[in-house]
Amino acid sequence: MTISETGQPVAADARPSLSDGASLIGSSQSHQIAVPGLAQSVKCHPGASVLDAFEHARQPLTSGDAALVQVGCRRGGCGVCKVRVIEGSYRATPMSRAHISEDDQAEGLVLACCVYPETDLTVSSVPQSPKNQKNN
Amino acid sequence: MAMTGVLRPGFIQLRVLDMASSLQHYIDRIGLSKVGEGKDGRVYLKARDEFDHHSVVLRQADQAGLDAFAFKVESDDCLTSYEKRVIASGAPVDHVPAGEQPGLGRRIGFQIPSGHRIELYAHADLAVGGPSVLNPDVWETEPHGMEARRFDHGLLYGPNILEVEKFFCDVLDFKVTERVDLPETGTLAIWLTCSTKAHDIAFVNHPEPGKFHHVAFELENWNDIGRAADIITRYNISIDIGPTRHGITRGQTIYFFDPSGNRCETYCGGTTYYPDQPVRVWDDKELGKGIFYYERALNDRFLTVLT
Repeated sequence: MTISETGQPVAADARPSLSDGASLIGSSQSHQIAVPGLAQSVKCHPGASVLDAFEHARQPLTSGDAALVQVGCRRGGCGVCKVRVIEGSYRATPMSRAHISEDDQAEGLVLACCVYPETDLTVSSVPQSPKNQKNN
Repeated sequence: MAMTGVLRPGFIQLRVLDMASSLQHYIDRIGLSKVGEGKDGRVYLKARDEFDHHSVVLRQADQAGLDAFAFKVESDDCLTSYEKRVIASGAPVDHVPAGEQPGLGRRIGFQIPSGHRIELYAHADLAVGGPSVLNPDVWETEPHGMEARRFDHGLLYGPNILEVEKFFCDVLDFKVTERVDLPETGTLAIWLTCSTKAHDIAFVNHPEPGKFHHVAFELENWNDIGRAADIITRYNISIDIGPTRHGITRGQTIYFFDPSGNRCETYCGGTTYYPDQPVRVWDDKELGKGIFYYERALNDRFLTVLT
């Protein structure tokens, strides 16, 4: 019987590994995520994704009656947590190209679960259009 | 009842965004073992109590989701017979030569009306180091991770559910064990078996074709489900729901996601099916209880989050 070659234990389920072998995705500092329309920014802890920050915010983050960002698989596959990064820099883990094309990504359209801030970020929600719903 | 024709789910081929983290998930966490790796990069895995060469195939790609769901049939003659029946049903059939996946004989493949690729094959080599057969111990090497015993079933989302039902029952000799029929929109979901299991494959009606909901691995009992939940939290694995129980199939369960967002299930228990049993039917009044028996409510994520 063969056990994984990847070695264990590790501190947490590894997110898709980065080619440079960084052990902590994103920076080692916490950052603030500002969302136009929200009175307060959201704290993103070191090693957390934008979706982690939204999901674990002390107050539920809403846009109208709906959640600001829907929480799906949290791992870049399902496409429901689409957001637009307006300002700031970040590192991204692999996102399913069924939902985020290379052009999308170049324009800042990303999946919140795959975005790890390296600076404070400004992020806007991307409402689920019928097309997005279809792509869920 | 003699089990004939289609025997069981044989293997599932999934697309993953990153192979290293996927192997850690399926091997270290779920408890599968690596059988080998193909020249094309596909990795072959098996669960601890399976005799056949492999049951899970991972392929690195830029999109997550399902490549193919394959069933093992009892003989090569049987495979030939099913090929004729699939062609007669109007679905084009293609041929995959023996050895395209290590350890497997020739396969036939076809697309069903939900947009998924289904394959059938008759031969698999016995796994090296698989379960012993002479005075067998419960295991040869102590299990690891969640200690999955076998690849159990899958749930797929796509359109034309009544055509899918007809195809599986008329062409592949499956039986419907349970179904969700809604008064206004018709059939929402079907659970299909080719054995005495509560389900070997299930479908939910959904507008977009070819979508993947989950792959399920069987654990021994409810205590092992609890231990799997400990592993899920310890390693920060993305959770969907559970531990809980289904009203439909009565299986005990946890749903969680692999590192590419493909949903996995650890499953145990569940009803035993015999072909003389009536179909259990669920409607809109108790659907929440049918899906999640303890919560008695569906969560949005379970219905809409797919790869």
